[in-house]
Amino acid sequence: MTAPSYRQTLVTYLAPQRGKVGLLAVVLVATTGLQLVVPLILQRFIDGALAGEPSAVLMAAGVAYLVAGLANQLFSAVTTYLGADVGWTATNHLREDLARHLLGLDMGFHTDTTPGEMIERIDGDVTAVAEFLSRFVVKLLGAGLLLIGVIGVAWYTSPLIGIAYTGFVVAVLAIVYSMRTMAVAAAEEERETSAQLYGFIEERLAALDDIRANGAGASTMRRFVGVMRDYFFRTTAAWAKRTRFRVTSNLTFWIGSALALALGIRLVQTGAATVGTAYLLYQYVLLIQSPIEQVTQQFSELQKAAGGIVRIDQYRSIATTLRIEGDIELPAGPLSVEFDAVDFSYEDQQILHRLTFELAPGTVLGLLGRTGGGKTTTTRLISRLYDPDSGTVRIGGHDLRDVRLSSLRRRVGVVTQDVQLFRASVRDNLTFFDHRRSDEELLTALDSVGLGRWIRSIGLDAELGAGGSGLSAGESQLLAFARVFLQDPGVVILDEPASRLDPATELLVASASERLFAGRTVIIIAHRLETVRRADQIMVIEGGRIAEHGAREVLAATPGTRYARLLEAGGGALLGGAV
Amino acid sequence: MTALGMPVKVASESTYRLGWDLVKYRPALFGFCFVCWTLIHATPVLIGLMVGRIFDALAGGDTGQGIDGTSAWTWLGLFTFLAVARNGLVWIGELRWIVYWNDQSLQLQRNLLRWLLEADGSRVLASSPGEAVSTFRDDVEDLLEYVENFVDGGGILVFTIGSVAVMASIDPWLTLALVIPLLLVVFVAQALGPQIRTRRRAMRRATENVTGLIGETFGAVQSVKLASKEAPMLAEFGRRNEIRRRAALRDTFLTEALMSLNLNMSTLTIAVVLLVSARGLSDGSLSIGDLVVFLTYLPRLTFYLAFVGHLIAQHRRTGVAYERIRRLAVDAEDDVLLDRTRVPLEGELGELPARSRKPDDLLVRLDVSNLSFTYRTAEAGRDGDGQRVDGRPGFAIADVTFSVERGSFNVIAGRVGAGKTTILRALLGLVPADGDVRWNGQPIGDRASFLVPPRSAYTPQIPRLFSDTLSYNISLRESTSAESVHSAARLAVLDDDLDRLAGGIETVVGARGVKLSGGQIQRSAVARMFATEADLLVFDDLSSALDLHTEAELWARLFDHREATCLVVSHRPAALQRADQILVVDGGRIVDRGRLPELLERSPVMAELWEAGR
Repeated sequence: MTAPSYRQTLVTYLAPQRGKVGLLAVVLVATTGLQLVVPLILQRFIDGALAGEPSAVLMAAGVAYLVAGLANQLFSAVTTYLGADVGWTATNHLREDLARHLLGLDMGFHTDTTPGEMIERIDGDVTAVAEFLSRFVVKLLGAGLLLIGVIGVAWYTSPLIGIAYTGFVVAVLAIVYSMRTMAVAAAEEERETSAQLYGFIEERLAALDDIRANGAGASTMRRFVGVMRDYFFRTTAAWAKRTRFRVTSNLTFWIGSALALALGIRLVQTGAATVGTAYLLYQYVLLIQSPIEQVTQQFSELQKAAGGIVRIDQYRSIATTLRIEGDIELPAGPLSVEFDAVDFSYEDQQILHRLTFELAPGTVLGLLGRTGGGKTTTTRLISRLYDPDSGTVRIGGHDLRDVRLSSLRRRVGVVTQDVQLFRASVRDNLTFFDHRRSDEELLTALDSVGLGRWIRSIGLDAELGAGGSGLSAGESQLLAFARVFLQDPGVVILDEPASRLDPATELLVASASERLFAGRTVIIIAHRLETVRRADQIMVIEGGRIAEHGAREVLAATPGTRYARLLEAGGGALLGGAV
Repeated sequence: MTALGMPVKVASESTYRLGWDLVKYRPALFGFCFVCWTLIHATPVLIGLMVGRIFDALAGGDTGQGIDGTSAWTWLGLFTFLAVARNGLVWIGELRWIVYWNDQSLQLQRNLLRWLLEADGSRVLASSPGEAVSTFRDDVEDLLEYVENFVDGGGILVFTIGSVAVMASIDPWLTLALVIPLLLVVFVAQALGPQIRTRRRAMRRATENVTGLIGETFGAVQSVKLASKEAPMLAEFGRRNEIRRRAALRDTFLTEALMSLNLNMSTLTIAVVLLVSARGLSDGSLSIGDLVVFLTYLPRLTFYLAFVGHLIAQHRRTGVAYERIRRLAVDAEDDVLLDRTRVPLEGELGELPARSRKPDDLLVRLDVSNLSFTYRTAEAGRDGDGQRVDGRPGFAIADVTFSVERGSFNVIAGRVGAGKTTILRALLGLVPADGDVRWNGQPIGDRASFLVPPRSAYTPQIPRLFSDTLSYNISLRESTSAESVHSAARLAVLDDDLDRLAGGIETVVGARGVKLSGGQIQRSAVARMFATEADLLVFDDLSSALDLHTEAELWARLFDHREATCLVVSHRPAALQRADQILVVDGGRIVDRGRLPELLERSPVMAELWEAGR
């Protein structure tokens, strides 16, 4: 963790909020000033009382105390609020920038990361940074100002007091600083042990049926004892470390108070200070205790924020490999698809070898072959989720690299094997939260896939559960079709779902695909021969090479072709990709 | 059991009794902590007095005759002694309390987990495991905080009474004038409590909406990219972020307002003291030391009174937390949840009793009659990720009647959603179903605790593995021999995989077995079932993760190896052809039964399934 990257993060995200940050600084200075003033008023009050000043003067001091005290509280509340406001605004920007960046990265990046990891990076790390921005900085600055103020007043009162306070503050800071690593380590240890304990419990609860029906309850509880022991000893040790830190810091301040009182007694005895000053000395020790303790408590936040910023920086330095993007907009209507000597490899393994073929607009192609043969990869290249190593992919006659990416993705509609749904309304699931689509458009799309009755009974605003719970597999599939209808692409890529649908739903899906295919170029990755019976052409890909490509009827009628052999065997099993 | 989502009302007295029951877990340790913390909270009464005496001495004592140095140094000595002693007590009290807290947390968690895993009867989680874990963690923590309040409460009471008594002895009317507004703070804080909780909840919901969207966006990142919908997704993210920021600020505002109120109260009371004492100091009826005593007591007194408000709120929250724990445990009694058996934190553990097989444990015949079950909302099955696995609320199986003979192979077949899994779960007592099940003619009392090894074993449709070694995942008990684990793995057609895995049978499989493929997870679960050497083997659908060939191989190895009685959900030819009896299920009922050839002739459902399965 380098200082510049802290500073850079701070500058980038605080600069737009200059006004609020300025106000925050002013209020912070004012709070500190008032905190210093309040004990001074008490000092005057005590000295005044002992000097026998008239009670009106003392009353005035009382009123001054009240005003300063209330203003102090008000300002400190404002500081916290403003700090939180600035922190949240800044980190929301950071979250959104990071999400935009990560979303823009290639699929190669996303296949290696889990959504949970993304939550941890975009929210967890950034929240740690938010804590850092909104609390640590404010508290650290506040405490720093206060310490300087206290030492300043001390030196102003007398050099002896000045020296004593400077010495005390330096000693306290040294003690706290030397123990901070221990406190941070303890916090880490606690997080880790509790993650283990609750991880164990969560896994067992998820496996309730497995454990109960296999009579493993007693042995699982026995194993739990080991987990509990480990948790108990490590957690109590970590808490003890934290306690040592707290007790030491506490003791330092009690001793500080005693020393301040001793100094006061001595100074009053020698006539070098008034009783009021002695009280001031005592009060100032108490005054700096809580800011210093708060700052030390925030050290683990600092550590987390440091880790967070490092990881955020790492992610931000990952760049997309799809560098070149053209500005051609694809026209409406069906589009041709063309592969010209395309090579593609992934993680040093060559997946496609000089793939060459051409589809005229409006052709329906059935893609067959074993899993891992390169069928899915071929279609992913059309959507430009990846770029080929060499060779060219063209759509509507244009090299993909000359086409604007958003136009390409709009004109190529894809139905993936597993439909991914959001915990949101049907409307948002159809449009991906794009609020520009009208209800009529949505209803028309749903009508086209045979979900018209269904949607009219539940409404567009009906909420779907997480992962589309509340929908059957068939309904999710149809919803994915409706998404593509809405998109109205010129090329449709359909990765046939391997999951088993019941026959009634199967029928609905078949008729929806019929409508979807009309007037479009279509590529179907098929797992069952049934599915490709309506294809114009058949292509079999094996080991990343085209093993066979031709008109379906011709291949079917020619004995000895792979397709003809498949038809003969009649088994989905031969395709090897059914499951 | 309270219906899900209903507000819970808990009688206040029962919460006190709960607190009492809790501290009886380790009464001696609790008593020690109580004494320690009472002293810790009470000493500031004396410390305040010392400080007052020091300043009286400085100001010339009661006589007003110049500085009384001897007296000032004596009081300072006492002050220092008390301060250091108090810190020592904090050190001891904290260390003991850490032990108490963690021990009792584990006691409650152990009791809860043991009930869910081991007790008789059916246990269905009403929420996802993730949510249930928050009961283990957060609700148990609420209970412990309640106990902690008892530990602190005594000392706080002593300080309050002591400091008020000292102040009243100095100036009773002034003291009265101070205590009344302080009590007001308690009242206001109380009134704001529900508000704070509402805002906390709003904040938590807003956070869930943000993290949920991140998870879903990146879970569906390919779809988002393919549809070119990055921009609207990010716009939605921004919208939810803004809602969360507002919720967070509202939460901060209220918390700060409440804190300010407390601190302001302390400022206000001190100002009152200054104003009132001005006259007293002038005419000598009040000493500087008296003033200092007031100044020292008031901030702490304000803080402690605010704590009383917190106590009342915590009391209420504890009732709700305990109710949530009981809801998770469904039908557990208090003496189960609060079982005072010590958590075995040290010492040897006794051996698990070996599985002994009594003669009557051998299956001759299993008779199931009129098995019926209807899913309520709470039982609609959800797997670990909160995904629905089967059973929508309202879905029912009814009048399921069949028999299983020793050594027979029985297949349950039916369309998706016909109720096949539910029949298995109802039979095994995993859901609370009605009906009569007899083992060798004898009625079974509690199916959940009877239909377990060595009598029966089960592989669910989506089996769950643990982040441990493959060997542990198969044996589930330390005492199983390596040999029998290996032979179970071989039977489950897992031997080739073992050769390929770097660590072999000792490979650590990762959380929920992420390092294995779906098929490997499924076969590990089958091996787990074989390792129990149970008589009746119950398989839910293997086909989602095993290909045709592997499934056929599995059956072949099983029957080569030993005599087994199987009850299997499947639509694969390898199973259907082997079946002595096929039960055709549709709409939660058995609509036909027999061997494959006869069923293919007369049952349209069977014919359709046979086609699909090939």
